[in-house]
Amino acid sequence: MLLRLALRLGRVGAIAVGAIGVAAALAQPLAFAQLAGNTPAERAVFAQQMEILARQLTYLLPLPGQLGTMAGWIEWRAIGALEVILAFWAVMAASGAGRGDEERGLVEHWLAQGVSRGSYIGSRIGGFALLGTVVVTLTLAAAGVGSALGKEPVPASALALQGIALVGLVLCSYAIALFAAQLVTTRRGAAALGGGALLVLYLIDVVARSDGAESIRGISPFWLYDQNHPLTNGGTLDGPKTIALYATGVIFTAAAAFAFVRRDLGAPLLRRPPHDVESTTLPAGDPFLRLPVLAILDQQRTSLLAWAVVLPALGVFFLSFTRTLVDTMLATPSFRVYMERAGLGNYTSFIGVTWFGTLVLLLSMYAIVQTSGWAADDQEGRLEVIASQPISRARIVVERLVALLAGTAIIVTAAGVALAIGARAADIAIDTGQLALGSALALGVVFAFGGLGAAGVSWRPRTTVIVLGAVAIASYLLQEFTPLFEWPTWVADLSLYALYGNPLSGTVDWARSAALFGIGAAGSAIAVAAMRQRDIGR
Amino acid sequence: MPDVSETPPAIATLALTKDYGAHRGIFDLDLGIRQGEVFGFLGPNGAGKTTTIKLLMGMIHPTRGTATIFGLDCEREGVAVKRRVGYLPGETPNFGGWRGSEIVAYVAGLRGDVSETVISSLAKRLDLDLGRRYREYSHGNKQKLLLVLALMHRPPLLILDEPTGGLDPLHQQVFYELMREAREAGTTVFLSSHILSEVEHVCDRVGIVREGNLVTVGTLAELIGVRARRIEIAFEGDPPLARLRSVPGLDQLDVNDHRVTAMLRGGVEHLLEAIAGQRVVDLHSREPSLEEIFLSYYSAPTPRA
Repeated sequence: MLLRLALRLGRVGAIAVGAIGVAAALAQPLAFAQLAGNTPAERAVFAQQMEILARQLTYLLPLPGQLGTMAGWIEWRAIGALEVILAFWAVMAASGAGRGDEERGLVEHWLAQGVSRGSYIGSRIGGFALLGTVVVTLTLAAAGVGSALGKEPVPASALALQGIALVGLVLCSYAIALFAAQLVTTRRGAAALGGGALLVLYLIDVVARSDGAESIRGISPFWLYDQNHPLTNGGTLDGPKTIALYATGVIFTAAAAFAFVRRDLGAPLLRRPPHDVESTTLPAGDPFLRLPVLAILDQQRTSLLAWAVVLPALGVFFLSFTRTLVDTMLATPSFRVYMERAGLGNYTSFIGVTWFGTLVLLLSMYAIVQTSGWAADDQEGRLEVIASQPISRARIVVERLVALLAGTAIIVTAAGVALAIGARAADIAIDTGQLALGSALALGVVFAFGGLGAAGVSWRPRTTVIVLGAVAIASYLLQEFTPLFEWPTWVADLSLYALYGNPLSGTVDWARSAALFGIGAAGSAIAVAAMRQRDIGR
Repeated sequence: MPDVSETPPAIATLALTKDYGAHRGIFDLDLGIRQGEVFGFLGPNGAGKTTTIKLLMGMIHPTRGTATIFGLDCEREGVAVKRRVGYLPGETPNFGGWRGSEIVAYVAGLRGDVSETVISSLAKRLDLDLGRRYREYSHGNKQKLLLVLALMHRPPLLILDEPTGGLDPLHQQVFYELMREAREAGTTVFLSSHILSEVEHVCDRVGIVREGNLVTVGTLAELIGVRARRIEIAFEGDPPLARLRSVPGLDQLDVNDHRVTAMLRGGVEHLLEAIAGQRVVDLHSREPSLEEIFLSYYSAPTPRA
């Protein structure tokens, strides 16, 4: 009964992640069969090109190996990206099981029915383990089918070994996030702490991919997972590291279960010593809370600060290896062809395409997070309180969008300043005017996503968030793959980011930029009309 | 008190309907509430009380019909309406980790015409610490905070959806005091409830809603004393059941041996005719409690518009 409940509660996430996994695992082998060529020479060229891309994407994908083979391609491209996606799913599932259902009062209700705490947490862990195993199995089965359709089948035994490692990573990520959830009191806090912990562990693996972090890489479950290569020729499952992966998962699972059994409901495992909160009957003196737009930014100050620190830090990190990477690639004739085709022929254009391409993707995520918050305002009754005040519904929409753009302006300004300073330190010349223009035009991307999000959230809140995420990822991948596979230009133009262009290199298409702002304006207008027409309240 | 002959009604609805399908919603609601009146909207869960309130607040759009507040259309003049209304929603929202003081400041900022003195006074009377985080509040404290938000700008109309839910008896009394003071200050109050004692405490008039239909409206006196009374008759022999059942307005007939109890609406002449010729050894007639009135409407067949 409890297990069924756990499966029911986790089914939406499992279906979504399973669909992504199966689609990627099926499509990638088929793409390989079409694009890699048939002769050894064609395969060698393809592998070289992919190697270039892979070196740019080590922060997203594992180190490549045997990219001229179907097995190597599946390991790197089809399954590699799933590490991050599955870990993200694990964090969301664990924060929901560890805190979200407790916040909603469901856990209290179930425990009141006579369910023991051990049974409850055990069922949630068991339910996720089952779902995780099913998702990984289906994904790898899809990869097997894809490789067979591509006429280069990968042995099922090798896929099974890969599955053992991948399930270990998923369960370990879940266990860490579930333990983190015991240390805080809200789902948001659980997601932030669990996600933050896994991000740090992931970044250790990213550094380890460049032979760094030697002394601490063993603590990263992502690194432990990355050492397994059962698909490729000569590779195998690394037994000790896989055992270490599972052992880590078991330890954190046991710690999380123990913490849940021991702690009070609604309270963190470790309570701070009681302190006297200053009692008051007066409203807060914070003047920002009383001002339009600034009130919204004030409410989001912590997350906004995090965005305004993390994005500039990522920009500086990117700059730290730009010069070496570009020099190496341009020194190789076959790589130079690809670099020039992709518009990556010098440091500035490389930064413009690669960093700004990543920046607009991340800013899109920021807009999607805000959209998700608007949906939550409605579902959790805050919108009803706001709409019962003497303000128009149009103002609610406009204030949200202006706050989104103002928040984005703060983030891109911080990122731009950090990039300018970082470029100077790396001795890379960047035109500050172009940098400012690129940053300003990034607002258009956010406005487009925000406008679409505002329009959609009035209609289908949860679906809107998922669709916007899919649009962002598809847009990013279209931009990445079009030059690589020499697809027609119109394919890249399907990407929303094609409207952004590469302002840092001075290639601003004002009509396209205006189109971005036009999409935002149209979405905003639809959002205002929808907000006026719709019913509010749960 | 405002002169009701010259001022528009505080609330007026005409054939107001929100049809969710499957007989859910509110149907053809015709209601007029005078300024300065305290009106109780009574009904069990799912009867249509919250739907009506959301229609008045412009949160949801009517399928047909109109609603006005102080003569302003709730649909087209929503901002002006809300300037005059203090609203307490039926479900507590989730403000997460905000402090009570931050929520009050934020909402006061949206409203713009709020005195800190009033906020402080309300918080003190309700014994509400605004320094604590919302998620740390008990259900009762969340309700108190919502009451502060509804009352803090001293609106001429209060629309309160089950306002005492979660309040302990002590603070229910504070709430009743606040309602009495509001009435003395000329404030109109529209409150929904399924708690009869609450309505008896504070309301001048009551509307009873059942399965989306308004089944009756009247003053407490009208509902309790004039048209309905509880009848108890003890006969020496067998009661004349056939004749009693044909008496207009007599229902909830209950026979226990020679003793008959029933609810009688309207005059007693038909009842007296029915028992004429019978030897009556005891006869009691008393006003029913509001609870009995309420139940009498819910035991009757479903009215259909």
